[in-house]
Amino acid sequence: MNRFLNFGVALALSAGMTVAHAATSYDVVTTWYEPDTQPNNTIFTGSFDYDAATRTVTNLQGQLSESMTGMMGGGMTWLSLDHQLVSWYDAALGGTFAAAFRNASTNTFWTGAGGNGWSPASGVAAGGVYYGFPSAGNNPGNAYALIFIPDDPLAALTQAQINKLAYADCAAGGMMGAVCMTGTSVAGYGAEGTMSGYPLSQTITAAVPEPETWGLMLAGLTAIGAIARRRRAI
Amino acid sequence: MPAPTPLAPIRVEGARDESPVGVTTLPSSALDALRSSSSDTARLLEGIPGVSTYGAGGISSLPSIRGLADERLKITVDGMDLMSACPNHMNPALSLIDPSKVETVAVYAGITPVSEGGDSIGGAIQIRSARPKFAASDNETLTEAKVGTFFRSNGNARGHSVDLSIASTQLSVRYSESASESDNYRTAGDFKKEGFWKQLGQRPVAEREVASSGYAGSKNREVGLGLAWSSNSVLHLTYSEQKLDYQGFPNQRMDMIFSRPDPANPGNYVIAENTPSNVNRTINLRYLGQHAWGELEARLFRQTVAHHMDLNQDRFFGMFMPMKSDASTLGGLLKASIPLSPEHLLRIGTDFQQYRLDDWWPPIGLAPGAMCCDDFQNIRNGKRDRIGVFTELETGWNAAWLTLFGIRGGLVHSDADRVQGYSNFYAADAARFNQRDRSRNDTHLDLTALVRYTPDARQSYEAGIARKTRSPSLYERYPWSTFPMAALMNNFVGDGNAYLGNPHLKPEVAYTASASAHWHDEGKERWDFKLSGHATYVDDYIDAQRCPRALSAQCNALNSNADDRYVILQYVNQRAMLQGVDLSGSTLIAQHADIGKLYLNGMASYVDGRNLSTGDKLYHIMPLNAKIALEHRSQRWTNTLEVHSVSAKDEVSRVRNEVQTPGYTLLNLRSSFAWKNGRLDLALENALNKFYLLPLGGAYLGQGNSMTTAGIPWGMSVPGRARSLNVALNLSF
Ligand SMILES: [Cu+2]
Repeated sequence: MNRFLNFGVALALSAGMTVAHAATSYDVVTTWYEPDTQPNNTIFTGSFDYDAATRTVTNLQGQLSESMTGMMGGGMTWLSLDHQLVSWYDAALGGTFAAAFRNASTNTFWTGAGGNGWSPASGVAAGGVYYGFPSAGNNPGNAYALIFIPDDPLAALTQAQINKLAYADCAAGGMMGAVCMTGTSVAGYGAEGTMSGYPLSQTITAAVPEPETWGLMLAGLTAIGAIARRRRAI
Repeated sequence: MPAPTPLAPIRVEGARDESPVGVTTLPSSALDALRSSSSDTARLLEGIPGVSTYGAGGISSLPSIRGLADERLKITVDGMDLMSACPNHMNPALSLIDPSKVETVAVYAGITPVSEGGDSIGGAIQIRSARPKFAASDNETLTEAKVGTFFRSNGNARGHSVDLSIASTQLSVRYSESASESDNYRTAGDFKKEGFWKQLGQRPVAEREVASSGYAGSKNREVGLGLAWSSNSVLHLTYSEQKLDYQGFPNQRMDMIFSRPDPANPGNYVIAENTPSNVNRTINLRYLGQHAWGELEARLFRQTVAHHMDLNQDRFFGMFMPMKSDASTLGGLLKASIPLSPEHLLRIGTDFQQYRLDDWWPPIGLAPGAMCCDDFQNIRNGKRDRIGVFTELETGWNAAWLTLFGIRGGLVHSDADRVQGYSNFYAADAARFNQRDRSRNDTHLDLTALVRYTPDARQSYEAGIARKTRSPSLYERYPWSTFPMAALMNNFVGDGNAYLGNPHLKPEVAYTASASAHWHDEGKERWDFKLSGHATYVDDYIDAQRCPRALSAQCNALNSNADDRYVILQYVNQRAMLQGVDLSGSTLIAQHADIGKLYLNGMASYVDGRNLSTGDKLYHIMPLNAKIALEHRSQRWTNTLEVHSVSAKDEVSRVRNEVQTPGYTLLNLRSSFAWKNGRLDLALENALNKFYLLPLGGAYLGQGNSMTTAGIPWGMSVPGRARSLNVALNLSF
């Protein structure tokens, strides 16, 4: 429950900042199909601000489900991805990529095979092995979700755009030994994920309208108050 | 009381062929050359027409007779019906005895008489070590010592054996030990698909090295005590132990290797070097007595196995998955052979086997996930209890005709307790398994009828029909998790797929008809030719199907339709037909007083196996294969030039995505020199260094991430060995 409250707070805060930046807020849900862990999929549910004039994505953050850790709606772990560390515009695909990370660093995959240590392509090249391999102690347990925002953020994604969505989960609950859970498509990156997972869909919706932002903010503050009170009680 | 009468001559009087009906035996002398080339006892059988072996670890091949393998065969070692205790059958009966201990091999490649065992449909393999010897007279002490050593260049395989015995007329004591080890073997060509998957081991694996094919620290020890308190009764007690530090399996997703928790890193496992991964112990008590009324054989044995698996360093470094199993077997036999009249010999008896198995996988890591935080119970408190009674009448009507009729009834009870997975992620599968009644009782009715006709000293004919029953094994009935990683770990055929048990399986019932003709010269010295044909229809044959969509979301359309990847399968009863021919022969082609004799030997086998329910081919069926050898024998020398040809395997099991293999021909050269106290064997195997893929070698899974269906590219077969120079020296005193 706390997690959802925090999520609410995050949403509320980001919505609040939207006003200051004069950019529009959006919610996003990205799904990777996981054949090995059905009926569980890997899902990123998050929010971001998008400035249509500059095609700039900011404040991307959200939660990533660990499909191996339990059943949907019962004991599944959700990772907080709070650090938007990369984003770039792709003219060919007609939109903007952005990735939110769990850690304040992009170190995700083993760099022994070259690569930049985080991109889906370098993850494929490294067999999905975590950063710091072979020592488990050196694994920073990073995770990320890479989403795509079309020029018209509310437009449905094309298959070519879906093919490029990716995630990696190198935190302890999403690993098989030294192998991170990843989701990539053969069309986008030459290989599917380490547990055969691949991107299925992404929906972007406009975030809650202005007047309600303040309501949410209030709800968030109330929630913080509630948490604080409960902490004191303990 | 009348004096004991020797029985053997009665039943075979006048007959030239003195072996039991349907059996092929290899005496110790015929095994010497084979021993020098392999430490894998199952491979000693490859010279028998119709017998081939499924590839596995360096000493753990699984024998197959006319297309029926592994637990479809009754395999005994010194009369003990030993059970494999591993979801990948890494420790089958024949892996538990070193080839140096094998004294005789008997194979029923056709129809097994009911007195030789039940709960099998494909034939029987009986391996015996030397029986206790006693001194001939009271003032004599019999002492024997044998030592042996070998080296094989490919894989740097080496080992030794020692066998000591001392005996009086009444007491015989024997001690033997053997040890062997091998590095990974090399093949003669490239066989690995491109990709980063093969660079993730702890050390680089060469392109032509077959990863996970080595083994180390295999030690066998045995103490035997023989007691002969009269000239007609012998009691034999043996204790044997096999320990094996490590054995890799190139066609399995795991290895026999011991891992334990890392004290420095809670939740992690580390490989424990030089710690036995498999410990097998047996106690075998046998009684054989000649009495006035006939012969009595009694046996009681107990086997315990402690087995550990994990991933060796050729595979994914830094990735562990401990898997453990404990098993015990208690078995016994009581068999009387009673001559009812000079023509009729009655055999009557009972045998039983009580098998217990626990198979569990400790959790690793500290975060809830794929392999945390509870023990994964693959089979918990598995039980498989069997009892059989049989009666058999052997009649030598006259010098020419012999018949054998047998009937056997049996009961097999199997059961397993409730299970759990690593975490609640497995809860749905576990609940489905736990809710169902898992106790099963099978009744067996076996019937055999065999006839042998020996019109004269130059020919004999045998024919037989049989109905045989086999109950599913615990690993066919009870593995329950549809999560691919868990299901992948249950696979004893080495095809790389994931297997699910099926508690609803019924016993297999096989109907076999076989006939053989044997022509030879009177002394079986100049020429010999044997031809056999066989057909077996199996009702409720246990084959596999793609796991049903309704079972779990992991049994999805991709799994149902894929033809180029590893898939999740479930055992299912279907109907099957196997038919084929075996032939073998030899002829003396030249003879010279000074130079010796020159023989031409040959054998060929063909079997076709098809699933009548689906129209698919059966998996792991050896394609048409033949061996032709030119053999030179003089008093001390034996020199052999052997050509071994195997045709392409293009008939494959589609449901298992079995991979085709091309045909090949190998040249092997062998030479041995024997003298009074010793024997030296030299061999050049695969002399032309030909590259080939093993038709029954399974899928190459020896390196890379073996835990997911996508971690190692599909479509690679395990290749055969490149050229190897083998040397073996055996001395006896
Ligand atoms: Cu595993």
